[in-house]
Amino acid sequence: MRLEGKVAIVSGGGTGIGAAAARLFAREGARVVVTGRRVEPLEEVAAETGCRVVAGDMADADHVHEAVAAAVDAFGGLDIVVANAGLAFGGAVMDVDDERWDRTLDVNITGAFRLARAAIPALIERGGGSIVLVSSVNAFVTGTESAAYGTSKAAMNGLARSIAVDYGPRGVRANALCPGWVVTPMGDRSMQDLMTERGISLEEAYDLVTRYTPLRRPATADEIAACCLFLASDESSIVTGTALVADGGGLAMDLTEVAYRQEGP
Amino acid sequence: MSFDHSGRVALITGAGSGIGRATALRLASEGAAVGVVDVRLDAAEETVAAIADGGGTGVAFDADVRERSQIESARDGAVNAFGHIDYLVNNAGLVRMSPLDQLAEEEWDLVLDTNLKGMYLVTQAIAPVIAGEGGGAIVNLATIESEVVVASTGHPQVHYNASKGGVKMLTKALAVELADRNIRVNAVEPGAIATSFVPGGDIRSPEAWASMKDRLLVPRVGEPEDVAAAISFLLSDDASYITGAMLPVDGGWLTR
Repeated sequence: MRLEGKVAIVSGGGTGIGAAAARLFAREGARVVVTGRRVEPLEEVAAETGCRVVAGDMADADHVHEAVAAAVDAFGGLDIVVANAGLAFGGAVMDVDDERWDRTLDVNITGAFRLARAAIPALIERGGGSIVLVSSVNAFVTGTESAAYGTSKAAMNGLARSIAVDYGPRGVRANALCPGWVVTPMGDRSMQDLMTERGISLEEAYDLVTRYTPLRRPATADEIAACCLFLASDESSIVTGTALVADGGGLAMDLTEVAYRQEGP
Repeated sequence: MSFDHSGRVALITGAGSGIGRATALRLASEGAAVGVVDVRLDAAEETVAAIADGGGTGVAFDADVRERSQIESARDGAVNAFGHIDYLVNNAGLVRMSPLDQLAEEEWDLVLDTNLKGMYLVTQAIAPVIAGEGGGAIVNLATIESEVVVASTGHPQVHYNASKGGVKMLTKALAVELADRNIRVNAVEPGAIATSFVPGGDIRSPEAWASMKDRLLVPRVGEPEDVAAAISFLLSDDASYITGAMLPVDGGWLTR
């Protein structure tokens, strides 16, 4: 039990990476508060794991305070925050209207900032804690027509460093976790255009976007949740301010390598 | 037990002391059988004795990572003892400090041959064995000095920096090349860790801590066990989607 006695908040905990992390953390002994916009998936996770549910929108400034209060009231404190809630709209800079830009930044980065800001006093109260910001390889490299999402994820890595620098002396660690493609409802939605354009299945679309990365497959949500667990747990107690890349080797390789790999198995 | 390495076999170079020994003890405590390789047989045997004290399984081998024939003997010995190899930890390494105008070619070669060429020789010998068992994982020891030159010590070490910069790209290139053989390759980047690695340096001394404490974002120097934990994670199935990655274990040294 790697999180025995710990209390965690997982934002975006109803589906995908967040749900997988909530389930894994609960199995490892943590008491967990899950947040998200839609109640039904959160209730499903709660029914399986005994998590507390706090439904709400990350763009709502009060929501994060409710989540922290729920953790402290129900479980007596807070040790771990997984800021995982996120969304993705496509679009190059000229295609992104103010509404979509604001919405992306509000949820992905401002929401994570507000959640951290609300949670840090509770973490310090316990002598410290760990904040895991679920970022993306898009913090380092940029896909086409992903201006708002890529910007929000680059900002997330900066936020992790700032928290690590400013609150490290009070025991708070913060790290960014940067996955590549992960099979999740959000990933599924990102595959829709490819599926329509090429007339291919969901599975074929995931295969297409990952076939030239070294591991030649997308991650499962469970694989990324396991990385969240490492960063959340005391196993990583001197790991802070960094970005852990979990991308099947994609960032290690230049795209020109693709030409050589096309002939592979 | 955090990570389950039951039934797995690990080969660790430089496992007679420091991070290598801590990693050997950790993996053994998590169920792995460990091939303990060190240039000093007595040091390797001490690690094996410590593994046995904890109820684990280990066998000592003496090999200089600069010598292909010695590496192959250790490899064959480990396969004879355990039947297969699943993990490799390329930990053997050393540091020397000399300003450029006094840096002898022999010292350059010693550092590069041990830290970088040794990693190539060992990986070339072991990777086919790992691949033959359906795959596994390799962790290389890089350092924060793979990313930045730590000049605060006042001890110039261009050869050490060059070797560890090389380890970073060796790690990524091996990750790309060995992925199709189902071998993941990653590196840890330790910062200030309390071992005897730096000759004459006592990292636990009040003077050393005074010089470091404002640099670190955690309230203590790192222990070999901290790095061993990260290595155990990267070897484990929990890291099954991580390859070609660098993981700093540095108390936030690289953050600002």
